[in-house]
Amino acid sequence: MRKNMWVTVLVGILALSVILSACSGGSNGNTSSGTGAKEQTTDKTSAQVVKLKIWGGVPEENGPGDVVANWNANNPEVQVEYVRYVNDDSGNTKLDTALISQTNAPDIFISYGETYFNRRMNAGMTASLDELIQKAGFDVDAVIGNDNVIRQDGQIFYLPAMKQISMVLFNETALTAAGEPLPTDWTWDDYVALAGKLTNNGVFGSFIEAPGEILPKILLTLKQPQDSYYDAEGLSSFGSDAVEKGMQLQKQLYDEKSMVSWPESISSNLKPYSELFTGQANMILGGTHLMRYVKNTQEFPREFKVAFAPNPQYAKGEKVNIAGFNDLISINSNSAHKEEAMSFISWYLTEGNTAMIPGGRIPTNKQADMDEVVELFVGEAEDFINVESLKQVLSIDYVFPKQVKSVAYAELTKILTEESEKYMMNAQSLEQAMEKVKARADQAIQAESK
Amino acid sequence: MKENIAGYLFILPNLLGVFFFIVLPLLFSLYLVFMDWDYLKGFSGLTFAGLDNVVRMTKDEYLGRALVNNAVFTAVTVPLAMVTGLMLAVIINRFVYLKNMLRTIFFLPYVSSLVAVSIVWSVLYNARSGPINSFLRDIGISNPPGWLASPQWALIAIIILVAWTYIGYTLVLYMAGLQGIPKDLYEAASIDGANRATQFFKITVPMLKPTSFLIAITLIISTFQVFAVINIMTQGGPLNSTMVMAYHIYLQAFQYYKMGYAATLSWLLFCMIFIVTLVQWRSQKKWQQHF
Repeated sequence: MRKNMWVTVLVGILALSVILSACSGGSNGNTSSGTGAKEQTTDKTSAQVVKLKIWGGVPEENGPGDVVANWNANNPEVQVEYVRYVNDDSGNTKLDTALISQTNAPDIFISYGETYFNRRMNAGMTASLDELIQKAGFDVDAVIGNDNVIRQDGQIFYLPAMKQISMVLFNETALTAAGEPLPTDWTWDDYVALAGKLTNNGVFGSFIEAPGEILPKILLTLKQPQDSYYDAEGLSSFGSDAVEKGMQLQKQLYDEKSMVSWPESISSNLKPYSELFTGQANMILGGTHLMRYVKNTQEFPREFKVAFAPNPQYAKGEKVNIAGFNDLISINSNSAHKEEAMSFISWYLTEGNTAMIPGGRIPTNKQADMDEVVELFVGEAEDFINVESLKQVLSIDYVFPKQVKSVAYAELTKILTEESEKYMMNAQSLEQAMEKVKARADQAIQAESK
Repeated sequence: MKENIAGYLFILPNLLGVFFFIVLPLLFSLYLVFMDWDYLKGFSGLTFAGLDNVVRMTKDEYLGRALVNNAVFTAVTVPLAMVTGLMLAVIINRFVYLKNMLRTIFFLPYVSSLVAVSIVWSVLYNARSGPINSFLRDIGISNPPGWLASPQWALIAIIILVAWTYIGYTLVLYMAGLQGIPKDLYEAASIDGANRATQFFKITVPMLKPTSFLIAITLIISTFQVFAVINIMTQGGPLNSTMVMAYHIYLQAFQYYKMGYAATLSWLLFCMIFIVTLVQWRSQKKWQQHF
């Protein structure tokens, strides 16, 4: 008798859950297939306030808070809410799940880097923007430049809001003491040589963040800015001599003690800006994203000025910048307010993102006045910054990398890092590293595209 | 009958919770073993993969490394925490004063946030300027270990830290166990002329067997799943010397988005823990007959 009871109850629960899950599954299907019809009938007649949700990775106090306040003050009928997600693995997963959900989904979201963006686009989460752009009267070519947006099958799925520029930051006092001029047109060989000259009294001449920024990867990007990880046949480009040279040069930095050792930099979680400002290193590889630390003389008090140089090149005379267009803004393909979202985006790209400059983000807007940008950039810290060199670096007309493919991208990065690590820590020879990096990468690509 | 229904109704909310948040995800993860899942596409992103995920395991060079590291980690951490905890429990139990305070102090690491603890210990372990190496240099060791920065020492460093957090747990349980041992056993033993050491090995240790059993099972299960410390302190490095199963699973799932393969690895981990626990239960029956 009792056993029967159990069975009945369990079966009941099972049946209930099956029904429930079937229901929710069904409604999911309905909404996703029905959105096309829904959008067109979104009635604009209702006087209700439209609420837009934006997900981005920048802390609210570094700009987004001001952007949202500026917009909301002038647009009472479309109110915007900013939600910050942390731009790491778990934060991006959070955004992904929010995008799948139907209730709490963002209307607008910002992806950082093509890898995350491509994943979302391939999963159909990003709305095609061409029609919306036309309706909103936004001139992509005049504001951002047609070449600076990568199209997928001729369609636009995102617009970049920020131009990041990679640069090398110097402790100017140390540079002057070494009797060296600020480099302008230089290669990575020059960098390694200069690192040696800037190393003294227990202060390292260089710091490059491992494993995020490694020379094999950087030199590969410099040599082949378009889809640097892949060769013409669609396999990996890791057999390139740029990778080999990158590994050699980075190893040289460790071997000559111009840079803190690879494992220590990782296990102590060392950051370029703190290495420079606390006097641990005289030269760091960084970029415009470090400007908010450069300006912050309260948290990082220092005696010296920071001077800037463009990132070193693969060969002299080239002008490739390893950073590039970022803050990729997309509209959720399930959003019920795409037009409002687009009008916010076009405002943001033409004037709204000026509020992000003090936080260290250069707008993609071509018409932005660079002098004004530098002024907002520097703020009140001009005594601690070589402003002329900053202007110089920002005014160069760079070639930026483009990433269209992203087959097994995260895995390829990991493979490159791991095999480099083994070489840096003397666990394998350069030949072995080069052989394994290419073989493993090709294997990963083949497994993925199978 | 009516009473029964009322009873089931009472536990129904909880039962539903268990079903939806534990049983259902569990079954789904088992289903994923035979699937590839692009979870961004929702349920339509599921494609049948057959035994691909299982075959993949045989070619996975990290898996072997992770399993060895897991085995070493558990085999050292659990006895270390148990022995130290037992020693401290016996010593503190002798103390008449400060018993509670000492117990609390040793228990604190166990209830502290592992994230905070890991960050503090990474500073302590810093090879160049950390307090541990400064101390070692002061007492005359000219070339102290590189701790987290060294492939040979990183796993040891993690073991020390994790054992340290578990000592509080074993200590509290052993102290409770010690209080349950009748005093007359010790009296009888000392009348028969047994010294302290003999009493410890012939009375204390055997009488604490059930406690030891409980601790061993719970610690083995939780040390097999070590993750937070690795994620914060070493990310499996340097040279994969601290790569463990849980971190490997995390990488597969949330960095490479191979949900099916991650689910397969999770089930492998589950099976291993299950077998170990089963063996322990069997052997416990033997122990009890021994009494």
